[in-house]
Amino acid sequence: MARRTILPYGPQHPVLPEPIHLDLVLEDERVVEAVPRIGFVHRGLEKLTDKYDYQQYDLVAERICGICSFGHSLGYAQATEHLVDVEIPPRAQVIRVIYHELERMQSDMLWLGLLADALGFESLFMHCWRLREQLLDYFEATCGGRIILSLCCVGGLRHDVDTDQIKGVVTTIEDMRDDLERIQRTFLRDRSVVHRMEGIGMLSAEDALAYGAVGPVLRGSGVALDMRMLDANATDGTVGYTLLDGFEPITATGGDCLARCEVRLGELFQSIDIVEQLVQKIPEGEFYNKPKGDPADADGICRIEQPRGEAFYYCRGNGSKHLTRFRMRTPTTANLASLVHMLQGVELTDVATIILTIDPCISCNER
Amino acid sequence: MASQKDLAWVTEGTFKLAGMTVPAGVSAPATEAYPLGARDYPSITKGHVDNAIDQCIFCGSCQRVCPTSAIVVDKAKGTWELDELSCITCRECITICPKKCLSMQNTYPTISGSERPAYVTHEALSSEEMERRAEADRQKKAKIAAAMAAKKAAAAKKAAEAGDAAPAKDAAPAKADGPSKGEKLAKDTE
Repeated sequence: MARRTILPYGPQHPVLPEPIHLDLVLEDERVVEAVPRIGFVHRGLEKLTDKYDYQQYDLVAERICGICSFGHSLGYAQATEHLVDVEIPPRAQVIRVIYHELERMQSDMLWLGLLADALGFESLFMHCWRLREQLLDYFEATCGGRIILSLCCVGGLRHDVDTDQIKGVVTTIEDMRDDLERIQRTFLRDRSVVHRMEGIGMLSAEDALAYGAVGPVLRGSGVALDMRMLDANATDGTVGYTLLDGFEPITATGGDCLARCEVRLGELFQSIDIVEQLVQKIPEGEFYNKPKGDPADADGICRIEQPRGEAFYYCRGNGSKHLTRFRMRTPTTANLASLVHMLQGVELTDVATIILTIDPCISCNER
Repeated sequence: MASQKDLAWVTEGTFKLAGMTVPAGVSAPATEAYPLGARDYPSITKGHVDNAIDQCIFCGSCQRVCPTSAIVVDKAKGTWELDELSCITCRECITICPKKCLSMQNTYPTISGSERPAYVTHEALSSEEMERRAEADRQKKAKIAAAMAAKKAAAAKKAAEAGDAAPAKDAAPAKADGPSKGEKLAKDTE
């Protein structure tokens, strides 16, 4: 029997974008067990509902994460809107979905760049981030911020966005399509990339469901589950997605790192299609309706599909302007169990790639 | 010797990316030579909050609404302070400002430089301006007091005309309900 060694991995490691610690139990170069530890960046943001009223809290909610900030403010707003008497204007519903999809694109491009960087493919990394910059510039031109948009609020949007400007972004993302296709071909067909991902970090569909995986990790194992599929009857979904002419989740059957990468690349093009569809359907009219009264003594929930997977938001009101409770379940929380399973039996050099393919967001996870 | 499959990997993978890399090598840089080249910020960019102090009435609304408590207003001294390291540029103060003297500038404060300190304190108003505002407050207060006195006199006169059967009938409920809006405003401005 080979000698066992425990190798501490993280929380500070060149390949890790955010702090997570793993105790890797090795037999020679092979991982036999991985024990994760989190809790390095807990900020107690959920507790701040005591300090900020429900209309101010969306500013806190969008600071939960620096990559999917709009999604968090959207999830919080939609959960809280169940507790107050307000009807969200159709214009706000559509613009919310457009920005959510654009944010998904920039998040996926960021992740692709990080993956290319981890694989040592510098030029691919730079191209991914170069394309992402165009979206960040668009965010800045329409909302004033590149990451923290402060656009979504309980009742609609904090400020209106010019319809012509939104139509302008279609040209931007349509121009990106050729470059994205080149990037897609490189990720999926370049030997140096495929060699590092094909057959690595296997997760079967049964295991993915058993461990509660979500998002591209689940869909990369062949399970077609996406919170954007929720129909108009689902009270905890996002209404704007029901305007689409059908929605089919992107899936891949490989169950390995390459399949998860393939799903994210496919979702880039899917997001372009969604934005193009919705831009044609932006109604004129109000972008904000003021909520009447304070959140009722009841529960409000919402499920949205963040770039990393399903995120769940829960609010509890008490009749005052402060919420009694705000809780959320992030996709990284759900995917950590799958990660531990995937790491068993892999070579030490593949650990970094496997961790990256769940796209861990520890700042969301710990809040 | 490289197989046909190996050659396919190369032609379909790496050379496709070269289609992006080679043009990028001869075109203008995608990045800016910061800090040598100044960047043009969009007009909507959330840079820093500025206060047109001459128009400010130091009502403190911005201080109350600020989610990070970055603003401190002192009405007596006529000062308005902003901790720019705490400010999250959420525009809450700008939205609520009754005089619209707060505005979002699209440039970022140079915290590390000598131009702007982390704490921006607008200097207290000049003594003449303070005196002018105090005089305006005094005049406003006197005007309210005169109006209240006239109202009371009119009510008393009306009660006297109505006779002894219902003395000061109209004036009584106002007292029972506490001070009126005008009395409250006069008290607040003292």
